[in-house]
Amino acid sequence: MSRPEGFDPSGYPDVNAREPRPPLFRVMIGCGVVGVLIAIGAAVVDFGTGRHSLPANGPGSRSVYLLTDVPGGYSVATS
Amino acid sequence: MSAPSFAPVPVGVASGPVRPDRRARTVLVIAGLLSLAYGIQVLIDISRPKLGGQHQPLIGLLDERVPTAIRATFWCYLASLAVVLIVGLIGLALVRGAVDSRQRAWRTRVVQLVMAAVLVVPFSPYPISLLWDHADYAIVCVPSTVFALWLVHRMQRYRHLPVRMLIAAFVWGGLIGTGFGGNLTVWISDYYGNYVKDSSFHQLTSWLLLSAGVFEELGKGAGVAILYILYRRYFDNVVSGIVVGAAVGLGFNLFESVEYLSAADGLASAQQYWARQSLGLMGAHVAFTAAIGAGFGVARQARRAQDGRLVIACGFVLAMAAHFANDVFIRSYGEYKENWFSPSSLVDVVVLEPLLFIVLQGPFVLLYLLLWRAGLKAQRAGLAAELPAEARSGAVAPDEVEVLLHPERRFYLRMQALFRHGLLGYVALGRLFDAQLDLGAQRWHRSRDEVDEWAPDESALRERVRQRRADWDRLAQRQAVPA
Repeated sequence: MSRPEGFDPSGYPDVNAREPRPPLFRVMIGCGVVGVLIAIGAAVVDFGTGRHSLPANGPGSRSVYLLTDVPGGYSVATS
Repeated sequence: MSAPSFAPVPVGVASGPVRPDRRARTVLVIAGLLSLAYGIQVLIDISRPKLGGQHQPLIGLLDERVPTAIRATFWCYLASLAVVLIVGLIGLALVRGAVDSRQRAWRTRVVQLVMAAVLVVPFSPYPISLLWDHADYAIVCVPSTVFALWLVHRMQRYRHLPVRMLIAAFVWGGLIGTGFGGNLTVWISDYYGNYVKDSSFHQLTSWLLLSAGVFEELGKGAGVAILYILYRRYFDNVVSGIVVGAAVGLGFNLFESVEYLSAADGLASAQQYWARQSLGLMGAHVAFTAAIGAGFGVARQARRAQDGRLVIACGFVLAMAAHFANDVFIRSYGEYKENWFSPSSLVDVVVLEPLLFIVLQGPFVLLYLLLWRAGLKAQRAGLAAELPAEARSGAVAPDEVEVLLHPERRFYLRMQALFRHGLLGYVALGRLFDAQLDLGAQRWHRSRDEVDEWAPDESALRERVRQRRADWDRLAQRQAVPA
């Protein structure tokens, strides 16, 4: 590859030398694995608790908008 | 000299055999899957066991207590199925009546895209009704959201995605992402009690949180996927993916902010504004969808299709898990706070909430920032290898290489152009830099054997650089004439 005089490419890594995997491939795979662990952890924490709180079949349970009236409920819990 | 032209470089070839274009078909498949997911929820709701002693309509969400926009979504959904059938039949006739293969390919593409649009439009009534009913809250959220969108745009230090693409991502996140995620979760709240006996309110909301994590991220991720499919040539690497994902997340966050600010007649609007438009503006949905976008960005440089699919799946998994865990632990925090200690409002808002956000969302913000930084380094290195080679063609002068590799120098020169030649000079020089970076990025992708098949030829990009340089030179000479 021809380069003009005076330009020193030594300070830049050769990113054109392609590897079999794309850049950051392992990082993304790690993210996926961490994601699975996070989901399992959150599910264990969440679904294993709160069995004896307010009944779900009471009045108002058929509309999520009515859940916002419950202190600490849906509107606070979700992002 | 020919008239200056800033028209976009035409994508694809003007003559020769027609290349098969599967992009519109893939977009139609994605839209169809979103529509199918809604249809499955409807079927689950219709099939729910009846509860004794309670009158329930066949379609639970047609209950009078349910907001009109939610009910309208259902009717729009049914209408969309009919309309998509009609469009398909008309499209079939048009495609068959095409005079040549080029016209047939064009008509097929248009019909598929129209069908895709028809399938996703039913998700928009609810977000639109939010804006309509609570325009005051929307206006309050606009300045911070626009500022964040500008920040996201500025994350691109080298080649920029077209602004229209960012706006499309933002609109998708707001209208379709919010509508899809919200509507699919609402169905669960309707039929949960019929399927699960003796359950608790906590368990109901647990399913809602899980549903929000899955369906909201699917709705937002579908937008990233569609933009990736249609405009893959503008995706360079992980940076582009993060930017598109963050823009989708910002659109979603705006509409959701309006929803929560207006809840209970604005009772907790100040706290919600603080959490969603200040503290968590660049976290939460921006961070979650940035993870999805990062997957697409990494996939852009994958040599094998299965590697690309794997990293995209990993991005989705992380986003859904992060979303679900975030909601779960915020709720747990709320419960512990009520039961264990009672901080004052000041301590809660100024100390505890920021700490909570740092712990729950900080790692995901840090993740996309680190990926962004690594992506910028790769872009810079790629351009440093390719731009000097353009000196022969004249598209990039030797002394321009370092300028193009340093955003702060480009900014300085553009400000100089602004002071000397006014806004026209600022814009003209920026367009010249953009064209040069576009050319450099295209060369980089070619050197890595990852050129998008619909990207314009490099000669067309060089010609665009020449045109823009001529425009800049003409402007500079005209302004340089002494009075």
